[in-house]
Amino acid sequence: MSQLPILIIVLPLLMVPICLFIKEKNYVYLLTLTISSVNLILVCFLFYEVHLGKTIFYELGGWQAPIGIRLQADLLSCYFLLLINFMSFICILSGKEIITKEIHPQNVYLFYIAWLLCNVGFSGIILTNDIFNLFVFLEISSLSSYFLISQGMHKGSNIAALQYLFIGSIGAVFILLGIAVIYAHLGTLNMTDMSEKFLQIEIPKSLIFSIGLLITGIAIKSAIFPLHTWLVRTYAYSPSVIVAYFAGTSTKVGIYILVRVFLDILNAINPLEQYSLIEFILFISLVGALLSTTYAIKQTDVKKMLAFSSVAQLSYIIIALMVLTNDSLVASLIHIFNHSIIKTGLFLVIAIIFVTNQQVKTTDLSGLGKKYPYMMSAFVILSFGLIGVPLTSGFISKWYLVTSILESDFWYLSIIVLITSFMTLFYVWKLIEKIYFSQAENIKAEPVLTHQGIGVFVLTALTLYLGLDTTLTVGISEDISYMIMQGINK
Amino acid sequence: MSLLSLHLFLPIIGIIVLSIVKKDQLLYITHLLISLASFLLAIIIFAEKNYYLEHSLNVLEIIPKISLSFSLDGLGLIFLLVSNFLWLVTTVYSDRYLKLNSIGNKSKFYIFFTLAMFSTNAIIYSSNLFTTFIFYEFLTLSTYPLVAFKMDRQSIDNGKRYLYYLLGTSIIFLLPAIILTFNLTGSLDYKPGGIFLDNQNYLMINVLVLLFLFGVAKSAIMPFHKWLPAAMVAPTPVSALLHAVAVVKSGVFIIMKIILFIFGTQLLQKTGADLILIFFSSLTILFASIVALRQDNIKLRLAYSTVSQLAYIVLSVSILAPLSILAAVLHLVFHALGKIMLFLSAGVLTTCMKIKNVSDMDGVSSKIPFTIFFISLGALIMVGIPPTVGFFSKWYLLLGIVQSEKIYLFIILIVSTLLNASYYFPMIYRSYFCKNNSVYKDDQAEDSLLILPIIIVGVITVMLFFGVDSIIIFTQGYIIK
Repeated sequence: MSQLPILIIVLPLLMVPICLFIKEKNYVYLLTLTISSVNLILVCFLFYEVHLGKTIFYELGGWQAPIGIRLQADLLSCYFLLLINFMSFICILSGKEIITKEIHPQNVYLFYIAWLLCNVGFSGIILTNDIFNLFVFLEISSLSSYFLISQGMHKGSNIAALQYLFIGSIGAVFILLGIAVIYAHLGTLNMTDMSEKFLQIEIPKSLIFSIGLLITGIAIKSAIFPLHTWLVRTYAYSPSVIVAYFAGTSTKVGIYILVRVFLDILNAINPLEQYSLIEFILFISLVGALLSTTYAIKQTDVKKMLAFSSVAQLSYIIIALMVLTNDSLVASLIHIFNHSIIKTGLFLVIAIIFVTNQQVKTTDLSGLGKKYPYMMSAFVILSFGLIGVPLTSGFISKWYLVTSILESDFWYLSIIVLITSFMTLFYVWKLIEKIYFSQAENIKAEPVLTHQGIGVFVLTALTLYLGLDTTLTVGISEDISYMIMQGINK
Repeated sequence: MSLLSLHLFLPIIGIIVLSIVKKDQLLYITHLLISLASFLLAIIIFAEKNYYLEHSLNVLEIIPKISLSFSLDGLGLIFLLVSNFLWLVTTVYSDRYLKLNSIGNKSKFYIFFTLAMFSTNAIIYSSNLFTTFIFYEFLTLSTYPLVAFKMDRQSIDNGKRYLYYLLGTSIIFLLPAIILTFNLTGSLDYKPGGIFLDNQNYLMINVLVLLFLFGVAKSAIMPFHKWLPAAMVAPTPVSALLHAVAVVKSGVFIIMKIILFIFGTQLLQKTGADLILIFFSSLTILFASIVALRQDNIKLRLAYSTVSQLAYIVLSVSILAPLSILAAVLHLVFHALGKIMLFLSAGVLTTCMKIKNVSDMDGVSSKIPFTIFFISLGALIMVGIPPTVGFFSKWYLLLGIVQSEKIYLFIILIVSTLLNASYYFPMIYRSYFCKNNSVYKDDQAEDSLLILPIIIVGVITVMLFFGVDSIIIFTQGYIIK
C-alpha cells in the first residue's frame, strides 16, 4: 500500500509517451479515461488507508527524507487528491464529444496528453513533501495548462494563454525566490524537516520577506483578489471543458499550497500576526468579495460572470482561512469541496449546451428552460447551491462560514459574507429569469448527445446529497482541521 | 409516529399520481381524494392528540444540532385542522371554477396546489426554525407558478414581485436572524418558554425581533406587505385558500411560534421588544384598512383587509397576555373561515356575474342571493359583530388588552373596527339596497357547485358561534399552559 502515492503520479506519466505514439484520438481518449478512472480508484484506496489515521510515506529512490525526495499522503492531501482526480474523471467522462467538436482534430491527442500532464502536476503538488519538488510539479501543471487554454476556438484564447503564461511565470518566480530564501535560512527543502527547524530558530526579517514572496506567488497562481485578472480571461476564452475542469481544480490546488505551506509547514501564523498581515489579507479579501460579486452582477457574459463568482467564493475561503479558528478552517475546507463541485457542474452545463459557441451571453439562455428541461433544472439546482439555498451543499458551507466567523474575533466579517451571498442572488436570478421567463427569439444552443449529461447529473446529485448528509465533507474537514490546529499549537 | 409521517408525505404521493394522470376528471378525483385523506388523517391525529403531541419525527441531522425534524403542538393542531378542512372545501370549488372560467393546464394547477399544501403542513409540523425556514421557502416557490398562472405580462410581473418580496425578506432578514439565534443559544428548537437564557443583551433581542418580524413577510406586516395584493392576479381558488389561509396564516403561525417558543413571553416583556411588535402591527392594522377603503376591485379590497386582519393576530400575540393569545388563536381560525368565504363568494361574482369591482355590485342580491348572504356573513365576521364568530376574537382581544393594562390599544381597536365596517358595509349595502339600471331578472344565476363550499363554511362558522367553548378550552389546555 505504501506504493500508492507514487503510482498515482507515475501511471499517468507512463501513459504520456504511449499516447504520443498512438495518436489516434479515440484510443487516446479511451486510454485517458481508463487511466483517470484507475487513478480515481487508487486515490480512493489511499484515502481509505489514510482515513484510518495513518500517514503514508514513500521515499523516492530509497533516499531517506531530508536528503531524498519524499511523498507524503495524509488526510489533508488525500482530501484534495480525491477532489482533483474526481473532477478530472468527471470532466473527461462527459467531455469527449465537446472536445472533438471544439479542438482542432490534429491537436486532440495532444490535448488529452496535456490534460494528463496537468493532472499529474496537480497530484504531484498535493503529494510531495519536498518544497522544490512542489515547485517543479507546479510548473508541469502550469505549462500544460498554457497549452490547454490556447486550444480554445475563440480568437482570445491565445492571448488568454499568453497572459496566463506571463502572469503565471511571474508567480512562479516569486515562489521560487521565496523557496530560495527559506532554503538559505533553514538549509532544507523537506517540508516536515522545515517545520521542525522553523520552530527552533528565531524568525529573521528576511524569512518574513520570503513568506511575503510565497504568499504573492501563490496568490497569483490561485487567482486571489486582486491578482485574479488572468482567471476571468482564462475562463472566458478557454475550451469549455477545460474551464469546467479548472474551475474545480486549479485554484483549489493554489489554496492547498497555501494551507500546506503556511499552516502545516511554516507555521507562519505568528509572523503574520506580528506584522498585522492577517488584517491586511482579510481586508483585501473582503474588498475582493464585494467587488467581484458586483462585477459578476454587471457581466453579460455567462462565463465571465461565473468566473467573477469564483473569485468571490475564493475570497470567502481566504477569509475563513485567515480567521483561523478550528471551525473556520473546517468551513473553508468544506467550501472548497462544495464550491468545486458546484462550479464544475455549472461550467459543464454551459459546455454541453453551447458546444461551438465561443461566447455565451446571458441572453443566449432565453427560453432554454422549456427546450432542455433536465439540463436547465440541473443548472438551477447548482446555482441554488452557489447562493447557499438550504438542502444544497452550498448552504452547509455558507452556514459553517457564517457561524464560524461570527464566533471569531472578526465577527463583523460575517455580515459581509451574508451581504455578498445575497448579492449572489442577483446574478443567479438574472440567469434563472432568462432561462424560464423570457421568450427565445433564436436559440443558439446546440447541445451534444444527452449522455454527456451524466457528469452534470452526478455533480447535481452530489450537490443535493452533500446538502443532506454531511459526514463526508464536515467529518473529514473536522479531522483535518484538528490535525492542522494541533500542529500550530505545538 | 407512522401516521404523522403518512400525513406529511401523503401530498407528495399525490403529486406523483397527479403528474402521471392526464384526464381532467381523473385529476379532479385524485386531488379530491388527496385532500379528503389529508383531512381525515388530520382528524385522526386530532383524536389521538395526546399521543402525537408527545412524539416527534427526526428525519435527519444535517449539521450537529440542526436537523430536519417534525412534531406537533397544540397551536399546530388547530391550524392543521383548519387548513386541511379548507383545502378539502376548496377542491370542489376549484374544479368548478376552472371549468366555468375555462382555465386550462389543470395538471399544473393541481400539482402546485398540492405542493403548496404539502409545504404548509410541513411548516405546521416543523419542530425547529431550520425546518420551518426550508418549507417557508418551499411554500413561496410552490405558490409562485400559481400566482403567475395566466402567464400574461401582468401575472409575470406580479409573480416577480411576489418572489422578490418573499424570497428577498427571508434571505435578508430571516436567515440572519436564524443564524444569530443559533449563535446566541446553540439551538433552534421550539421550546415552551423560549430558548434564550435570561442574560441576553436587550438591544440584541430587539434587533432579532425586528429581523424576525420583517423576515417572515408572509405575515404581511407593513412595510413588506405589497406581495399580497400582487398575488391577487392568481385564479380565485388560489387567492382563497393560499392567500387568505395557507400562506398568510403560515406566516402568522411562524410569528406566533417564534414569539411563544423561541423568545418566550417573559423575555419579550422584559426587553421591551413587545412594543416593537405592537407598534408595527398597529400601524399595519390602520394603514391597511385605510388603503382597503380606497380599493374598488373586490379582491384587492379583500387582500388589504387580510393584511389588516393578519396584523390583528400579530397584535394579539404581542400583547402577551394569556387572554390575548387566546384571541390570536381564535382569530387565526375565524379569520381563515370568514375570509375564505369572502374570497370564494368574490369568485362567484366574477364567474357568474362578471363583476370585479365593488361599484358594480348594485342590486346583485336578487340575482345571487346566497352569495351575497355569505358575503354579508363574512363581512360581519371581519368586523366582529355579535351573532358571528368574529365577535369572540375581538372580545378576547379587549379582555387581553385590559389584562395587560395597555389601554391605549383600545383606540386602535375602535378606529380599526370603524374602518372595517366602512369598507365592508358598502358592499352589502350596494348589493341589497341600490337599484341597478341594467336589467337583472329575478332568476338565480348561481352555480350550485360553486356555492356549496361557501354554504358549508358558512354553516361551520354558525356552529362555531355556539361551540366556541370547545376551542377556548382546547386553547387554554394545550397552548397557554
